[in-house]
Amino acid sequence: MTFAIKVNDLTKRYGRVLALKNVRLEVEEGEFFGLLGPNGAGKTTLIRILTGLTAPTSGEVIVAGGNPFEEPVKVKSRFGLVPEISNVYVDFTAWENLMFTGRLYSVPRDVREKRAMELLEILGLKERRDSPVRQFSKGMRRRLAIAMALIHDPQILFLDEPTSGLDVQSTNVIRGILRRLNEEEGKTIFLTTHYIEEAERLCHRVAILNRGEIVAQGTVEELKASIKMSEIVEVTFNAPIPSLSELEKHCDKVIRLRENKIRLYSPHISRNLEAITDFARRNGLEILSVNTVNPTLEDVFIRYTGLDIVAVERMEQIRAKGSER
Amino acid sequence: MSIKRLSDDLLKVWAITEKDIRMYYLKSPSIFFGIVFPLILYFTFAMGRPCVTEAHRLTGVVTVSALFGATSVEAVVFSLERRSRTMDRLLVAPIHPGALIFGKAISGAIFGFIVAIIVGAILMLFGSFWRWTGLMPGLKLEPVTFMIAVFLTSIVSSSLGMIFSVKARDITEAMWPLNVIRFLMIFICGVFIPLDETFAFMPSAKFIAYLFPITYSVEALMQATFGMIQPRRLLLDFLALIFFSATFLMIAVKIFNRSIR
Repeated sequence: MTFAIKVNDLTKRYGRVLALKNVRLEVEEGEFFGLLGPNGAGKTTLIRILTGLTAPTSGEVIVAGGNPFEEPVKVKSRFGLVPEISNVYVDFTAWENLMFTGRLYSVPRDVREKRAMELLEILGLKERRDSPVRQFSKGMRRRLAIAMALIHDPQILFLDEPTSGLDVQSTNVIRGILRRLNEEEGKTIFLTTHYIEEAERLCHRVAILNRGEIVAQGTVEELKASIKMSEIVEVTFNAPIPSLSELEKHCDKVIRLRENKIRLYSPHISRNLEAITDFARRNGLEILSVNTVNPTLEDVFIRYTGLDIVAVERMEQIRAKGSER
Repeated sequence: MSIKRLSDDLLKVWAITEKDIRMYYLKSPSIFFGIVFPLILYFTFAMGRPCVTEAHRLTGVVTVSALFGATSVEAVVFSLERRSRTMDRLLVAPIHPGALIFGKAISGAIFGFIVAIIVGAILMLFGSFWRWTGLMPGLKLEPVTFMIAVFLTSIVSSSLGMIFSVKARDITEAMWPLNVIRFLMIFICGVFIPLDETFAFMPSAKFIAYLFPITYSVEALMQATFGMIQPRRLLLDFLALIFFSATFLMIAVKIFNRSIR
């Protein structure tokens, strides 16, 4: 088995802050790998270390067969990076951006011109190739950033939140292209995202990063199987539920699905049923139904991070809007 | 290092230089500090300090144009690249940090060179126009020596600008320390007033001027502009400028490497 990316006991400290703690992961060649995690989990720090932009405090990093800090020129020519903020040259046209990037990677003129035309076509930017990027929408800039990361035909493509804050159309175009790059061209893709659905639809394997630690790793199916069905229970009451604080003492996480319906996460749910019955009696409620639920990747995320994905996504969207401004 | 790798690196260096020229030369701080400010200084000394000789006014303004032009471009380039995060694009490319810094130093030097030559040509041709003397009196230009002196001044200036700009996140952060050192050099390096007059209060302190590169620029330019070439002196001036440029570039690369970790 050949690894495109291998990380061993990676730790990163910023002063007293521990951004990454003993991270271990392996990504096979040709794999579509997703790194899921909430804001501040360390996703961007990890991608910056893998791409040689930030040095780790300790640990081993191998990308495309080399260490990005010991053999930077060799390793950097083998991957492309699409950062969270589309860092394109706004005073240049799309074509000029691609030509400049091609020159940085020593791509011969005829090859870079041919490849640039293909990429502009695939990414739906051909008609705007001579327009200054200043006039581009956020989605168009992101697509151009992807084209720039692919101009030298890299083995590995790193993408940091590629669809964050984009409209549905741009999101679908980008997801389609990423799938095609992986399936048809065999490129290894390492993607960070906070969109559960994106990771579920695109990735072969997923790792969940929380507070600098990998808390779970595996295929989507493996991760779902890691949570027993009995760990997630949905309870419906006959009337609106007043407050969840009492139940939260007994469970890892309680989410209000409707005003009279809740979902509980706990490894000891059978023991908690008594608490639920007590809760209903004290609040004058009647339990209409209790169902175990097939876990989704979202449930896995909530189980391992203790966070509500809706709130996470909302936070990420606000952050993305702020940073693009 | 193989020839192939060297030529590859040089092509990348030139790509960065060309990009910077197209993107940052016309930004307002570059124009103001490279062209407008030196001309203002010229007229200030022309009107307010009649004791300053015409020779010093000309070489002074050419030096200041190269110094302010080249250093300002570096301050603009680095801060804007960091703000727009395009610096990451360069850092993630397969290029040595030293080559990256060199590419940017060349773009600043070319800017300093161009503005200094333009400003110098204007003053040589029209500087004494208001006195109806046509060309500047006493002018005996050695064009090649003049060009080399201006280019080395621009290189040393852009390398100096690098030291203060490579870490800067905004233009002010680079500009304020640069202004301290630039104005200090204007007043103690004999840019507008001869060194003997500057240090008249304490002649033994004159050696301080020779700790700064601009003193050698002014000396070389005076020789190249008014036909007073002393070959040994000129060679020493050029070697000093090359030494300062190399030292400043090495310091800049070290600061840059530390800042990106």
